[in-house]
Amino acid sequence: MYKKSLTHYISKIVVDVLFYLSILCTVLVPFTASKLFGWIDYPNQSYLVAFTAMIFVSGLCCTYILFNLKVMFLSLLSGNPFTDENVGHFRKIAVTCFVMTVIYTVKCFVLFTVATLVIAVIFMVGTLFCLTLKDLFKQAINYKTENELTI
Amino acid sequence: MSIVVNLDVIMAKRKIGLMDLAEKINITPANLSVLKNNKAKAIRFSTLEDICKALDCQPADILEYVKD
Repeated sequence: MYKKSLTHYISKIVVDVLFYLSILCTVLVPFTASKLFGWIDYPNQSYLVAFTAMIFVSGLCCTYILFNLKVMFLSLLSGNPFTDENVGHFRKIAVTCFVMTVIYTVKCFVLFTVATLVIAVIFMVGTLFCLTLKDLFKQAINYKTENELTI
Repeated sequence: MSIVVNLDVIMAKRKIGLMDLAEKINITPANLSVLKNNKAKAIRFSTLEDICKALDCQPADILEYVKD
């Protein structure tokens, strides 16, 4: 039987807090973008709309990633993480990370900063990581089914 | 599937029900039902031994290979 530890509950609380925070931050982006833009030394103020759109879409993507993590954590705490649903969640997280990679890669060509490149690389690694985990979970489900049907 | 489990035939011959056999060999009725209905992917030798002991038969009485 799956043993729950304090770490699992703390991780779940952190994921939950981050999820609700990301919703709040994403909703506030259109209202705070101009102020945020003022802090960054952009050469051209006409980038404000593109910057706002980029941050807003990033916020939506992060919220979606955290939502999928939240759901997967629930299955982990229930003691049955190796399900086809979780394989689907990993696929969705991988696709979302790839979308983020594309956004920040495009931004690298429009207005290059080292931070943008780092973010693009991190999300590319995240995409590959989630794709690998998806395949690992698929195989684990096969082993689990095989074991369950061994009398 | 190529391996057919004829457990129901032997159980009928020995006049023993699913629940009784499951209790005798110490596995759940659900698992025994999976085996009886040819849904199992594998069987442990220990389980096969227990079934043969309980039903006083040979593995060949329970398992049959059928060409596809």
